[in-house]
Amino acid sequence: MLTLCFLLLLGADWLTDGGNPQRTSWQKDEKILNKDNVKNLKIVWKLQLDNEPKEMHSLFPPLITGNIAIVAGTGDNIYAIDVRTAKILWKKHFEYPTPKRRGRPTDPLCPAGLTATPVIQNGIIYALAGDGEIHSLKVADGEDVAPPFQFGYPYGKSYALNIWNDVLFTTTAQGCAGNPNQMWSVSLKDPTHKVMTYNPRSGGLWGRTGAAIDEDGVAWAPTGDGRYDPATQTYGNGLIGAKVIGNELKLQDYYIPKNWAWLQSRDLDMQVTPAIFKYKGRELMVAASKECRVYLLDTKAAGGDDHQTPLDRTPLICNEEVNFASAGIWGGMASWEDARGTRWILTPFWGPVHSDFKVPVSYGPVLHGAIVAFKLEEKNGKYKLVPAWMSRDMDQAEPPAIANGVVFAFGSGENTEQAYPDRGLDDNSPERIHDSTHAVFYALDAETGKELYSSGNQIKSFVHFGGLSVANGRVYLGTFDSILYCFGLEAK
Amino acid sequence: MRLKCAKVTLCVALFGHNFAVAQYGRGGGDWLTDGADAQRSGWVKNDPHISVESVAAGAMQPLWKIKLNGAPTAPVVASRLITYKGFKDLLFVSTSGDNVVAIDHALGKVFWETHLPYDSLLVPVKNGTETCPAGMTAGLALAGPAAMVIPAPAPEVPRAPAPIPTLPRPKRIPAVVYALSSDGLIHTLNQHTGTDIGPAFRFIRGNAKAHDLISVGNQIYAVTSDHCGEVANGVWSINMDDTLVTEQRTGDASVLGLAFGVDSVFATTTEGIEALDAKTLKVTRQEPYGSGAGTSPLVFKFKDKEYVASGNLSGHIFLMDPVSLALLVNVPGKGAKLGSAFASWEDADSHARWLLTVKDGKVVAFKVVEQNGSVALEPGWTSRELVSPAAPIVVNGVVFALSSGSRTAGAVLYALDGATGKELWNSGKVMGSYSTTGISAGASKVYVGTHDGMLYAFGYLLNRE
Repeated sequence: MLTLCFLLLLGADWLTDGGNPQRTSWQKDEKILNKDNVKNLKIVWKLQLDNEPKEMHSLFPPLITGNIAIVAGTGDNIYAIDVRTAKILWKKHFEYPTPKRRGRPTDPLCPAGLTATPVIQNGIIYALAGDGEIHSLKVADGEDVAPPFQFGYPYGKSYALNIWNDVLFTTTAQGCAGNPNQMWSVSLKDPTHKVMTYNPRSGGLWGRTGAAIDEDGVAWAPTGDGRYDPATQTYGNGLIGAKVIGNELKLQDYYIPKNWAWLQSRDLDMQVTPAIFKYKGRELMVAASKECRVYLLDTKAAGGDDHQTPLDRTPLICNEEVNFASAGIWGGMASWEDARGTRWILTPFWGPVHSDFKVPVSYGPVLHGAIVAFKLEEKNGKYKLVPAWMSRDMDQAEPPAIANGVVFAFGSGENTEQAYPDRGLDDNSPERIHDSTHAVFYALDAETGKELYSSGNQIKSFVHFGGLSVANGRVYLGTFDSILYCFGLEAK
Repeated sequence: MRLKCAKVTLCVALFGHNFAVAQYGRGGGDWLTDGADAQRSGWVKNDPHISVESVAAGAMQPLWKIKLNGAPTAPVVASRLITYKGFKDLLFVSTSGDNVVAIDHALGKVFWETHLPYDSLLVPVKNGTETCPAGMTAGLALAGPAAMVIPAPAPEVPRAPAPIPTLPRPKRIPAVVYALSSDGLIHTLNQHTGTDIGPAFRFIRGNAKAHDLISVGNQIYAVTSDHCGEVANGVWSINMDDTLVTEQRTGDASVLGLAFGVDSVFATTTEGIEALDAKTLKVTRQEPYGSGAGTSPLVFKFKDKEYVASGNLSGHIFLMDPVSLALLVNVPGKGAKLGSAFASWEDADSHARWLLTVKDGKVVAFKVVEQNGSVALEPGWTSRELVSPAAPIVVNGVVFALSSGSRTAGAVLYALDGATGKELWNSGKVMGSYSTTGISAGASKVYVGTHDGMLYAFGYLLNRE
């Protein structure tokens, strides 16, 4: 036990998906990795876990507290791993009767089991099991510190948990197992654990890392395809902000792009978890869509008076073909600030870069995806996202993480096709799994986008709904085959 | 419920399109064949953006034009298709050069283009005449959405390190578009790619003047006229399950068109009207009516009773009982020249049923009424005079009339209030050539092809920015 306590006291943390409640994926406390030494990155260890993948899902981004990694898997498993030794300290498996409803077998959209990355607060892991119950587990030993309580629908496909002032948040999408598409919250202080929801009457709220939370406690989440009709409180194809007031989750603000009907008609919805940050004393956020634009918004007045006017909106970065499946911006955004006070915005994208998109620095043709970095500039109160660099080609670039001047990124290697020439729409896990390749992990110079490290062929499987975690000189990534990779500077 | 099908073509026909087409009130925004549907109503019943009010307020705009390789036929318009390149709103158009083109009509971009190679021992006709044009003459016909076929269970495979579900999954069949090429073969093209999903079948002798292609059930129908290519005039069908071709020759009489009722198929010829059995094409009844039919037939319902409309070369307009072909209404023609087809629509609010056609260069509208217990046609409104007007169509209460133009004047599209005939909009001088296609519509747009190979789209512009 003393050893475990010692482990918890060390170094930087990564306590929630996206690194923090604002979902910037910026590890501010990294001291070991830098742009000079990441060329020496190696797989320090890899650990085969006994988690059972469900459809295409397997391991979610690890949470790091001290030298312990907490990893959740779709098989309703929570693993605590000593990151120095790659030893499993404990494992928790959630048992429950098989729910009566579940998604269609082979449907990648609705896997059974645990789907939400847990969150850690004050040494307690809050994990949402596949049956919809929240478990409160001690990091040290995995023991329950409180009885489980219901938070969602069984097999309801909840997204990553977030926490703010002792209130847990999640979002749901795809109507899995009859689950409504909405934002969910529950106060840990409420002994009755009343579930508070806000339903925007839209398609799914499927930003990969759930909701991002601003300084006022407003949880922001994208809304999937649907209509925009404020008269009926219908907010499809946009971004909603909701806040717990009293014991209710109430809509505070929203943003709907002016071309929402076009986005709806082509399934180009905004489904990217925003990143929230401070810039010159003002809290801003960036969101994006499968249409392949980045939107800059003010958290105090998203979209201005008409809710449809962003502070800035980039031109189309990709998706010239107007595809709903294997192109556009997916997952989440990232943002960091350099020592000179320059605010950087990072977005991943899938598919070829748009032929009209101009960026001053790039590294060869981009056909499968890349990371694009923007600098945020402000002149006379006008904000502008200025393209700075575009990374090398990556096979389905996923949301990056930033630490100490280094951007960590990966191409998932996932086959993302949902429709086929010979039959049209036929989204199915077996075919996509078969046609997926393997992830490649990269380290890039955060100021230039130059490749500093590539894992090449070392990772053997692909990543779906996984993500990066960075802390204490290590970068973690779990793959479909339930292997957790730990990259660092020293070999085991 | 899971259903099994023996053959792709049968399944496509059965599940995708068949009975729905032959039934009334399909609604929606699709334009599946010449005249929109099996009744040849020329009516898009529902449209979210085109209405008398919106058109009067300026909703109609020229959207795009595309140069095609050959003179186009009237496009057919599909429901939104989820393709391997994303959601697409596609129309399909054939051209005289045996080309089939799929166009994303929201963007005005060609999605695919395919050429149907000539495959016949007959020498292809290179230079046509006004009566017998060369090349592909029939418009396309659409079948419906994907059908489902359950494959045999997959054999057991050793469990991989990661579980891969091995449950038998429904095999999906793509939505298809039917094309009758100039060599007389019927092609079943994948809407996603334009490739044949199976072999093309011999349907009609090559170099025919075929038209009115339509898919109903597992049958594809077409008609031939003017003995072009020395092909017999007649009504033709092919069973897409066994590829058996059935024909009903009409001798010297050219077939003008084909429309489907509940129990019969109606064909108008230059000698009258025939009711045929839909399966055998045997003539069950026929009437010579006057000096010979001049228009394609149209079938509509009024107060739950079915009627057949046609007209003759003397300008008479007839309503007939579909069972007996008894003449119920005969509007004197006074030698007027009728257009090639009718259109009919029902006002959603007043439930007034309208019948439209072209008469002496003007679109004329009749209200179908009941007088003394009998059906009657009450004169409604008459449009301005147009140059060689095409058959009118109706979108959500708005009548679109086309002044086809001439060798010296381009075509002009007009939007008229379906209840009053009041002109709401016209396309001005956008079109630079005369039209040979007529009009079709779907998804808040109206399409016109011109002799110079251009296809124009007019309609509601969705904000993409």
